[in-house]
Amino acid sequence: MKRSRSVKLAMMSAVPVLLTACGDSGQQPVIYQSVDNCVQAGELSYSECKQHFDEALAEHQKTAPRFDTKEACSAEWGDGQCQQTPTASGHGSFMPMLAGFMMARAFNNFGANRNVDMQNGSTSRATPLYRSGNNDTFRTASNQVVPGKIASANMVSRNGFGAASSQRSSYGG
Amino acid sequence: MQRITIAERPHWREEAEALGFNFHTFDGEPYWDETAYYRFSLPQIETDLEAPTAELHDMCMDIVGRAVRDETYLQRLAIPERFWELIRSSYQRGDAHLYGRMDLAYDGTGPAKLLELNYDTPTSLYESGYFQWVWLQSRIDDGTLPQSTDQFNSVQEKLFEIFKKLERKLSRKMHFASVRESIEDRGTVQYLQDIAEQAGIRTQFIALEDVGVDSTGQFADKDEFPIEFIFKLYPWEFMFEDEFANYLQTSRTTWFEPPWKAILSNKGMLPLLWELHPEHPNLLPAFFEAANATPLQRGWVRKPLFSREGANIQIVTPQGETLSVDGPYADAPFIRQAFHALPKFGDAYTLIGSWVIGDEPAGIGIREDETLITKDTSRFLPHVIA
Repeated sequence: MKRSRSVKLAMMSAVPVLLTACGDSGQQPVIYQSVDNCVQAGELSYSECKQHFDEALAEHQKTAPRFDTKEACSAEWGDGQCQQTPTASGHGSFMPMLAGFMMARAFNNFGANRNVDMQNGSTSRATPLYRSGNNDTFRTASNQVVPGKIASANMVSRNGFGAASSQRSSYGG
Repeated sequence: MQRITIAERPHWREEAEALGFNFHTFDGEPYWDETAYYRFSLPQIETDLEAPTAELHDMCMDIVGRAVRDETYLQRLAIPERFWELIRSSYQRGDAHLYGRMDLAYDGTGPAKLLELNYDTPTSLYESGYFQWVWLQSRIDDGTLPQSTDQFNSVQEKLFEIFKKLERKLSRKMHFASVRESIEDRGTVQYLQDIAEQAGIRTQFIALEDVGVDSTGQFADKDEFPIEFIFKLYPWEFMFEDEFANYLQTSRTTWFEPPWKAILSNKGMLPLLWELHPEHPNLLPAFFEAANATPLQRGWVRKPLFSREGANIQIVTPQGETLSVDGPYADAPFIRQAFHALPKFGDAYTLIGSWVIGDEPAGIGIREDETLITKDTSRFLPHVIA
């Protein structure tokens, strides 16, 4: 037989003409990776950023999941994402590293529609976030994905490819 | 090889739309055309099309190997010097490639002639690999064609195998990009993305215009995560001219098709092939145009090094008739290729697009046009082996 034994589509079937919803993140809450990142993003002052970071850090130390071994932690959170908790006795457990924070307000607005669990009862105004194992999403302490975008202080620019698109309608052949 | 007219399936348009084929009609004119199909014998497919496709592909890859070792090739192909290292290193690293298409003139007898290569941004992939397959299956199911009818088309199966191999290497998601406005380009990208998903790769579409660069020179997506792997349906020669071209060298992003495809998508491949394999039965005489070239003679075709979908091609037939298509590629150097008439079945000229998936011949797609120059609006017709 000179043809494929079978063909199927996973995503293309019965989709609208412009599938822009796929991968189009639209308006998303902002994730800050550090106090500096927060300040550079330009929305908040240094003292506000510092205060929110400290709150996220406190929340992290209170709520981050604990593991008995580094391997168990890495299995869930990825290689290089875990650290030993500092304790006075010296034999602390392991937990994922704090990778960023998000304002609780933005988090709640977004999470309410998306079944992301809220940290009910917390009075903190900032929510600690963690990297996923494969490093391409941010997650809550209960390892659920948080849709959001990193504060864009480091971004240089966009629209650097496709400049000729005003001349042509298609680039394939 | 015969063209056989047939009543189209009554509800194919609805089916096409339900299956994501949103460009089956262009400006009210049919693009997918199932009012006829082409029938080939198995020897025509295997001896006259499949075997030459494999041989031509090997000859092309041999030239890529030469070009990364000998910069006079890159010079003659008018590839800007500042990207030579990018091209060389992508080849030496063994950056994987997905697909290419050669356009062949073939009428059922004699050697197929290579008209050109589309190895960087070929389209009509979905129509070839998927919808043509679906058409044959439903014509078998409705009793129009016998159960034993076959098709030269393992496009999707072979793409799946390639993505399956990639999946073992990708730790992160793969992005798929085309320019924002083109529905046709988007269709091809969506199809590749779909097969990648089936192979277990996490994928995300991004408009090419939305690709960003961060302060470390790394390409990033809309959520500002680094782009590790990206398929782009956008020619390398334009990438090289775009504002972000400088970051191609600093970024760790792996591109599909890889930068070394800039060699194969260049029309200068045609004179290079002829130089290395003169009188090869599947090649037409071709030469780089001299700086102060004489006007185009009868029986010759003039093509820019960089061109897509028939743009800026000029033909003077042996009878002295001149044909040309305007386009945006007029400023590049040109090549000249001996004219070889496309066969005419009925009212239209027929061109065969022969697919290479990875490094293997994988099937054909047929295009028809009222003129000798096949364009993006040329109709796509299905074929069978019987």
